[in-house]
Amino acid sequence: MSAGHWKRQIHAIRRIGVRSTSTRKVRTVLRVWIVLLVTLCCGANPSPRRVVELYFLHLVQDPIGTLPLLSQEFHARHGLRALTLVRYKFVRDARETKDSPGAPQPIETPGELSRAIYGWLVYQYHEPAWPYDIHIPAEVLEERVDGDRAVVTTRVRMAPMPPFLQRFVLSRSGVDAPWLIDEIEQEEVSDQNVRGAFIAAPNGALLARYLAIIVRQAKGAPGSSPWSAAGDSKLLTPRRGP
Amino acid sequence: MRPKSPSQHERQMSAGVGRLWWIAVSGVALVALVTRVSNAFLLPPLIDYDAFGHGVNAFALYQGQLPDPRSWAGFHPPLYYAVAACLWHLLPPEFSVQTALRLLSLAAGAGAVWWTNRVLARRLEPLDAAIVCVVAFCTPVVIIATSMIGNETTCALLVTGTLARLTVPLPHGASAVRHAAWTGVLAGLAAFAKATGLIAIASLAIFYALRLWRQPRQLFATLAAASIAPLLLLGLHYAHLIAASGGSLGAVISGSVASADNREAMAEQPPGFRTLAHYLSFPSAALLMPYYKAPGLTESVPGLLYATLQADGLGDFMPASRDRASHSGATLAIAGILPSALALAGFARAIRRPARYGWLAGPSLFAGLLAMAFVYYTVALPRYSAVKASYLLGALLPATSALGIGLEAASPRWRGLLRLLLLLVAVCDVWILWQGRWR
Repeated sequence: MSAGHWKRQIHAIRRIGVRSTSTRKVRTVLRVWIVLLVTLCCGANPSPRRVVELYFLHLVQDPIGTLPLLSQEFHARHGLRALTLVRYKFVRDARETKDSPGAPQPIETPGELSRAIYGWLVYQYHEPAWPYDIHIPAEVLEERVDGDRAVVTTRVRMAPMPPFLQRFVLSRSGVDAPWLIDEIEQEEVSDQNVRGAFIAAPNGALLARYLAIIVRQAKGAPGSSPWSAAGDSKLLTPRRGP
Repeated sequence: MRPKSPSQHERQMSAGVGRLWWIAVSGVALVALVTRVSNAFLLPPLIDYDAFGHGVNAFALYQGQLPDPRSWAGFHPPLYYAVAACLWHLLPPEFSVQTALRLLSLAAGAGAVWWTNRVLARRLEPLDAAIVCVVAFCTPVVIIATSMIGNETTCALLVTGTLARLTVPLPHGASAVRHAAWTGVLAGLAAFAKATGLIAIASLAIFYALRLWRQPRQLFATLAAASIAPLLLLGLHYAHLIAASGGSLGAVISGSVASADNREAMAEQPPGFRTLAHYLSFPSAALLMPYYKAPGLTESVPGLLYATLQADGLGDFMPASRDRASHSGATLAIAGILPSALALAGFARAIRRPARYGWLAGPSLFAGLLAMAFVYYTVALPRYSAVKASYLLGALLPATSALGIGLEAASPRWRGLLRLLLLLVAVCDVWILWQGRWR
């Protein structure tokens, strides 16, 4: 064997050593990432209080972010249904059918759930009264947990409107399942703060009450409201910003 | 000390000027990226194109389910939403979901531009390639698409990857089959992100057929290898759509199985019909007031296409009702004349010199098919919202190549000035379309 042959052998062994070191480093990095990912993905479920805090954090500012916090029962209750681009169809339908607008409707098919979710998102997009870059100021007053059901009571203060109480009913399907919001109840809601109540918990009943006030105001002072008495203008004034 | 020779001095000057250009290009690219990230946080909620549909689709995948095919955007292939759902699971619950989905869209768009630069740096002068790629990244349609939730940029990334592989000479034998298999994977994934990717698959098949028609066995093996991934991915997806919606294959691809609400809403949009004049007109509003409600723009396909390419033609990004928005829109549209004209000149040059620009055959084939599909789509759906430049994002590589060829064709005397003007246009676009300006 020539000296050149041994040199080549030694060089090849050194390269293997380098590759082995690189491979070990890569494996170590991968192990760290896998542990990190598993930790992130398998973290503890938020408590009912935390779910409510996340609800207010995402509401209006990041409506898509509220979706994992809401149960199917919630979407059946809020009475807002999909409008796609026809943003005022909800009101038009209510007028045409003479039904109570925004009445809870059972969800029996995936299509109905999609329409309910769209309705939930569309009305958050279109409600202009609260700036979308400011959190809704809500203070958690009480958290009661009873097995797989919980009730969280908050006070919402949206100055200059009077404050009101907002109560969240949550449930989970098991000890390891996440808490989901099933229902929102409100107290101390009057004509002075119905708009704030609607922003904090969009639903069809509040929307109907809110629209009735708008129409009354328009009839009382023509030109002072974005609405005509016939109600054929756009549903809500455009959101601030683009 | 011996004085330097003129040629040595000139070389040092040239190297210095070259460094300055690279610093300028890097600076513009960095500013573009930072403002794009900023837009993801500052853009108001749900203002993105079809944000409701994309959000609900991502949520369905987040829950481990497929979207309802009859919903607003449920007919879209699930790749973008699957990646979005994975990201959603990884992020802390306090992080804004819509911001994350917008950043995902940005990452895909930036990846497409990076891939384009890789191709062009081998074919053109590297500095020119970098400049035209930065200009492409700063084109209003790309700024808007990469600032919004959507699957267009993911599809554009994968289409660019597919077309990039068609710009290199085809290997022979077993290597060709392997090349086709991997290219088919990219094309299949592109179609799995958005239906526009189907055109990439068609382009791939035609490209191989044109190159290998004299070798039928090689052609058969190549096409078979290229179609494995698309058939697997798309077969599953479209079989599910047909079974769930009851529609035909054409109906599920075009999205006409979507909800009755959606179809009713689209039916209310102007113009409602198409004539030849709509494809030949270019009203001045496309430059002076590039907003779809401007006179003549809902009817004019080239005009509205230009307004959505070089400005905010549909008015979803800038506040269209404000005066400064209309002035800004006009500034964008007028500034966009230079890169558009240069790209057209480059396109004409590439056609006249097929031997020199033969590497563009694959991307050009895709661009031609995409253009035909776009025209067909605007005829089949004669509504103004069907004329949107973001539907053509998959043509990023051929369009940027044309721009680069146009710049390359300029004489050295004019090229420096053109480079400077292009970078100024890019800076102008980025500044006007930065959301921080409008808050």
